[in-house]
Amino acid sequence: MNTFMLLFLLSQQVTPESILDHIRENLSYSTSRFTAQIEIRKGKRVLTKNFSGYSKGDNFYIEFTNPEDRGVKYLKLRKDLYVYLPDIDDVVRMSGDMLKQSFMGSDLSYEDLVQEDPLRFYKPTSLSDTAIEGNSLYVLELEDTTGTAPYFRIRMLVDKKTKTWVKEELFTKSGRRLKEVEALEYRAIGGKYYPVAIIMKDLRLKDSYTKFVMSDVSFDTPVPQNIFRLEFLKK
Amino acid sequence: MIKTALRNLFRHKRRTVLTFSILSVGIIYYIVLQGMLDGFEFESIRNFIQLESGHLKITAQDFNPETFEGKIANYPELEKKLREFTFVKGIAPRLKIIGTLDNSIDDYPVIIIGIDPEKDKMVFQLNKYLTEDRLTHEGIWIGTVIADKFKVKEGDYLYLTFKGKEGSIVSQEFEVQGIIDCPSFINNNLLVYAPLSTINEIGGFKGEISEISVLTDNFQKSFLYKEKLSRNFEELKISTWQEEGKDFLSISQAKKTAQYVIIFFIILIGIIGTTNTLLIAVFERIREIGTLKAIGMTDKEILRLFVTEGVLIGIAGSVIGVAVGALLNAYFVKYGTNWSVLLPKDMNWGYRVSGIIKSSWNLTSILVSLFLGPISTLIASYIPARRAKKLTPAECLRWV
Repeated sequence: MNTFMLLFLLSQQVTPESILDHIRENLSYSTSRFTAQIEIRKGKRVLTKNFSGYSKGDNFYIEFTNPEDRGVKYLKLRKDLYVYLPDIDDVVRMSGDMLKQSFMGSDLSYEDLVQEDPLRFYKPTSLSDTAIEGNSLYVLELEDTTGTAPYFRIRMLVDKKTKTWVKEELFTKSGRRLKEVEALEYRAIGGKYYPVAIIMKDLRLKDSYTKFVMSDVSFDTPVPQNIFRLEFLKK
Repeated sequence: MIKTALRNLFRHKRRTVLTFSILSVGIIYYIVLQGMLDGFEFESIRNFIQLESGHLKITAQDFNPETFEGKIANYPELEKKLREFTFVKGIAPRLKIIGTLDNSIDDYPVIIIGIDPEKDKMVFQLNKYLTEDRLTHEGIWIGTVIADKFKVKEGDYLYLTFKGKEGSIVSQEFEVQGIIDCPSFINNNLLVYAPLSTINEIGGFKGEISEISVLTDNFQKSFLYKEKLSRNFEELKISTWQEEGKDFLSISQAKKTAQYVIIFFIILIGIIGTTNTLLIAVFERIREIGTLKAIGMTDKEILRLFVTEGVLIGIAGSVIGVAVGALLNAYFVKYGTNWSVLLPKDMNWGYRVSGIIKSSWNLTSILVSLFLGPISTLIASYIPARRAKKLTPAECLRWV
């Protein structure tokens, strides 16, 4: 009986790996549909952009709908990212150095955008408890073990109840904190908790942030098949 | 004939002076402008070699000059081989990476150049334009425009951020140890120099470099030396300073076109001015032409007289133009012209020059100017001279 109890308790024990797996699992889905808004602040200037799109596996399609960017479309097909620019009525393949540029002027680079399951590079190095404003949280420290992840270390605050991340701090190897991502709102969608509003700050810049707010999102629902083709971009 | 022509020209001093003055002004403009453009070109080439290219540049065959991808892995071995060539006088390895510089308030895109300060001095002369020639393990040199943007001086700190070899972001604080204020837009506005060893260490580049700049014993033999090196280093791409600077050297080609346009306008000024003066002279002296013909002067002699007058105007215009032009050019050769106001450091206009730029002597333009006046006025005087020749003595004497 004692042995059985011990095994049961061990299986229920929270480990850093199990938290990381849960976070990754919570963010995975086969298909998605979304309508969203990005708010980009650079100094005193605030820009708002709207877009909608679909994703399927590693591929995604985004179309901007706000008047200034209406008709700009992005398509990620496997490892490649394409953009359709209505002003020149042509499709441009983003490659090399272009991928380091900022996505529509936001704090997100194209490289960040095309990254598939970015947490796969990391292994937990420590787990501790903390509480912020009455909420019990885990502090999960992750480190890049492959040497290929953009950020060497991630410090994550994870909600104990839902095991979802509420804040991420991204560090370089030398210990400089470069970016901070905060989940502003989670919504239960199809049995999972998904961050529908996040704010990202590039800590190298003063008065700069990018806020993503998803107004309509659904997972694992059918998406149109013809959009994940290059020919569709020009239509 | 020349005496008569001279006497005729002196009779109408004001008109003669005005005609050759127009020609002289054109020639002065041509000589001074040529001297300035040559000065720009000479200084620009010298600065380009001393600050950006060296005499030869060696890169990997797959080196991409926009992304800086494609690196040389076996540098120590290559350096040893290069030193075996007697014409090689300096070798500078450089690692180029795209990155950003920031002060936690603003960021600025830059090109990071990892250098070995001692070897770099053997090829480049950046130290001439540095506020302080010191580069320690955690130090950087930045351009004056970048320093102005961040409002930093020597001893202040900035963060340098770039992607390491495997793709992970590296960000480290560096001390600004020197500020470069030189006649190169790219150095003032875009480049950040850091020790090669530091960049290698924090970026994990494992001794890889982007390019090797070579200084030879004669910059004019760059194509010959390129051929020699290419035969020995087939796996590498070797380019001369002319190939590296083809963009700004194409400005020189445009300059040549401008030169032809100036010559054309000088000829036009000479032709119009002289034709006008001599045509008036023909009409004013029509009765005189009649008298000359009546006392036995032949048509050929009349034609020659007017052509001689025209050529004399051209000679006077050329001689005075060349003399004044040469004097003015001598001043600009010695003291130069200050272009700082017209050429701000944050504006890229191709030439690698700034501040006071000294003119050069262009002997071709002086020789061309000496012949330009007489030739253009020779052509111009033919029309009025022919008109004078065709008139009969009776027509001339009846002229009111």
